[in-house]
Amino acid sequence: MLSVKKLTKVYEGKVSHRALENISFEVSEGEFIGIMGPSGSGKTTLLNMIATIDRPTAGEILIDGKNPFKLKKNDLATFRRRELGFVFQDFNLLETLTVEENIVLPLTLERVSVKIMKEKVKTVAKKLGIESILNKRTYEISGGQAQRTAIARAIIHSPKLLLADEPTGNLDSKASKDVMQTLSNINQEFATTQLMVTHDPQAASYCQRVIFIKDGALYNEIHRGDNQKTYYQRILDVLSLLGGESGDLSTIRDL
Amino acid sequence: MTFRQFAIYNVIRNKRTYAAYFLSSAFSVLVFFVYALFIFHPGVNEGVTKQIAVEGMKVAEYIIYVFSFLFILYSVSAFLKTRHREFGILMMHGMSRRQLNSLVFLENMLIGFSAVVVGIGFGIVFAKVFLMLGAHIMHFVDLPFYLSWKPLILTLVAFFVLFLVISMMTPLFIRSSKLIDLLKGTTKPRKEPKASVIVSLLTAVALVMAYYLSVTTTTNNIGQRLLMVVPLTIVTTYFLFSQLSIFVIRLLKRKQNFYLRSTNMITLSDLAYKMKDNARMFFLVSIVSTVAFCAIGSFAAMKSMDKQFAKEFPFAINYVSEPGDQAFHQHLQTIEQDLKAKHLSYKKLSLTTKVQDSGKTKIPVTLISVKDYNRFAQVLGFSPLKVRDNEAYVVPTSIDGAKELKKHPISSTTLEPSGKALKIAGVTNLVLYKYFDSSSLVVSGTVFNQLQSHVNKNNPYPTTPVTFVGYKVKDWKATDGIGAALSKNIRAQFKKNPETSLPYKYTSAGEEYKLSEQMYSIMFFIALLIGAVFFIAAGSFLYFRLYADLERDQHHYRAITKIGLTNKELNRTVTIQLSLLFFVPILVAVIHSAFAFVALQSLFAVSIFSATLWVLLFFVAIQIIYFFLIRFLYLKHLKEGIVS
Ligand SMILES: Nc1ncnc2c1ncn2[C@@H]1O[C@H](COP(=O)(O)OP(=O)(O)OP(=O)(O)O)[C@@H](O)[C@H]1O
Ligand SMILES: [Mg+2]
Repeated sequence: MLSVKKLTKVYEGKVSHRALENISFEVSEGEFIGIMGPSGSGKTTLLNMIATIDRPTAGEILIDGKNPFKLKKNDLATFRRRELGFVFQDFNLLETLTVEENIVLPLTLERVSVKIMKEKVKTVAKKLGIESILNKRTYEISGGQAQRTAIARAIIHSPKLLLADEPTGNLDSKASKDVMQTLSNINQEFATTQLMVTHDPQAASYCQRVIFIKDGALYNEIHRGDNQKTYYQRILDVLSLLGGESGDLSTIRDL
Repeated sequence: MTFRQFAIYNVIRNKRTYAAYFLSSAFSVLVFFVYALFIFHPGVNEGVTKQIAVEGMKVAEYIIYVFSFLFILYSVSAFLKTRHREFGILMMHGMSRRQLNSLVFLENMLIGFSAVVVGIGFGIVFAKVFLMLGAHIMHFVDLPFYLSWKPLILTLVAFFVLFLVISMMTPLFIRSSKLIDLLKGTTKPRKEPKASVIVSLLTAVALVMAYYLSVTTTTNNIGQRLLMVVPLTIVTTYFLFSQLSIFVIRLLKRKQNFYLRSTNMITLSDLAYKMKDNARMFFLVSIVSTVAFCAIGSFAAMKSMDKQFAKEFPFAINYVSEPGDQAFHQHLQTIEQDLKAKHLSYKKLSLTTKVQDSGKTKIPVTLISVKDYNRFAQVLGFSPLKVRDNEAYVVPTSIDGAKELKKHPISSTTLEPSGKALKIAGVTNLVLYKYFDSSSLVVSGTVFNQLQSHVNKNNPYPTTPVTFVGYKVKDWKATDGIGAALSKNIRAQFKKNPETSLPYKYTSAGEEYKLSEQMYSIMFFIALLIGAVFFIAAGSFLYFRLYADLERDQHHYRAITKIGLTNKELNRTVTIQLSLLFFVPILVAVIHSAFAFVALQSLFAVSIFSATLWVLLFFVAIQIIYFFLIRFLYLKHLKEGIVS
């Protein structure tokens, strides 16, 4: 489904910075992958590259065997609209729209009929428990609700590949669990391939596999196997080896 | 939600951002429509002054149209710049470039079309008021309410095309196609532009030079000076803001005692952040306001001309009789009857001139006997002259002419064909009659009696000896309509054949004054509306600058209030920032205009100081009101964001 080959990203500037160094990995159809690593290790950079937001300096990304960077501009837009879902680290909801309108945005761009839109919104909102706030504007909802709205927007068009950058970063542990459960359900129900960056080992333990990155290079990788309990413990172990504090890694972004 | 709905929501729910731009556009449409109302009014085709008014308004239409184009173009590009992050999100969700372009196009057309509709709608509803008001200001008595399709169609088509063209140009403004750059959008901190010492110094020198040039402007070089000073001022103003502002803020930041005290740091660091945008906006607002001030100020000044008038027309009624004027006595009778009918008392004086040629230039010279001159001087309140036989005094035809003659005196002249040599002893303060063919010389009685008139027949418009009759009337403004029959004859003759003229000239100061007052009133009316369009546009720039950053500012102040900024301190910080935004460019505009008025003064014999001062004060007052209004709204909106 997704294959990342020898990916390198260099940020040019006064001092060029190698954010990613020769990273390669494969993700098969329907997998739910977590990406972890200390702050500044290149997780967002990697996700941006896969989401076609930014171009790699070297290396290749293939999604279903196609290199999205080789697509024409219009085809790239269509590709994003149909096959990609993206949850930004800071939601990126549009302030001019209501929650519902934000969610149906990908369908609007696809010019789907209003009837189908309504149906889909209903299902997705129910799944995420945000039916009651559909008519509110984005400044009237809480951080957790905004996060769930962003997730709803990312999945409403049933993308093949869902990319999420710290989708639980702003949530308390209860809300975080709900969101992770939803993502996990979507993964199982629709066989959506998912890639999620997270600092939260609890959240990561919902993933089938966790990839660890350090200083822009692959550091380690662990599979869930059957035992969720030991899986969680193993994640914590790798994290402590990586040198990050596991508990308070979730960053305080919004003062 | 369909695609079209999406575009509509984007506009309607952003109405706060677009408010000033929308109103300003609608106002331009309105003014354009009002001019069109006058231009197409059937009542304005009669009479010379009305036709001049129409010509003036046509020019005004072009000015407004071109200005609106630039204003809307700039505003649209500025709006789009603030929306990069939003566009990035949309493209991330699969919006194609085509869709993005059509979204922006739809939004712009929506705003543009509503502005046109509102502008014209307002114009139609108040057409009667505008016609009345305009007619009143321009001293037209008879402009009944009249509304045809023509002004409507013209305005509609003109502005529809304008918005269409600009909307089609919008894709050019969203240049960055890299998604990552778009997503970072406006949150990316802009670099402070660097201040170069050399450029700063050059700017200072250029500004001083521009001001010096305008202070030393004279009647003769004003055109040429204008061509130099205007571009120089525009360029220096730009650098003044882009260089000097940085320089000052750097300086203040370096003063740690000042920078780290109380709220100064918050205020200054924020100012520095917005520097580049502010510099450009300051520049635009200054220039646009200067244009508004100057346009309105100069015509307001011209309206206050009656003092100059009184000096230029010492006699309210002037009659010049040339050889062949058979109706001389009859005409004087008509005039005197008219004066009596209006119960105007008068003092009547008359003299007869002689003509010779100047030896050097071969130009005819009118000669007046000193006896006649002194009779006139006594009545008009000037000191009498003593003229020796080899001397002459020059009587200029106008105040400006007198100034020129005093600056560049002529020392002597020889008359032809008599060969009489005369030393020019001076220039009189008395101006006899504006429409004499040439300046006159006062010569001694003996010389005057000796000389014979000589009319050069080779001259296509020969200057002949004339008899001048002047009526001094105290209430000279009331002399409009006196001798109307004579004026009418002269005008009829001019219409019939402009090449030949009747053997007499007639002018009443009252009529002249009324005509010129009306001319200036027309210009004033036109300049007033154009100035208003400019000034409101400047206000819209300010508003936009503020609201474009409102969201970011809310985040900013939310963060700071959490650290512990009191309400009072917040108000103070915002007030300081807003006052800088509102008053720095206006201050510059006022100073620029003041110097422009000094230059303009060279065109006037009387002081235009008080008239222009009033205009400037008026604008500053409006700006202060606008400042308090926006401060109130802005603080309210800002605090809404902080509480939630
Ligand atoms: N636009 C950029 N220009 C230059 N350097 C950058 C840029 N974006 C990121 N970097 C650098 O690249 C490295 C990786 O950044 P990235 O955002 O991928 O980290 P991250 O793993 O997502 O961190 P976090 O967990 O804090 O979100 C960092 O050292 C960062 O400083
Ligand atoms: Mg990150």
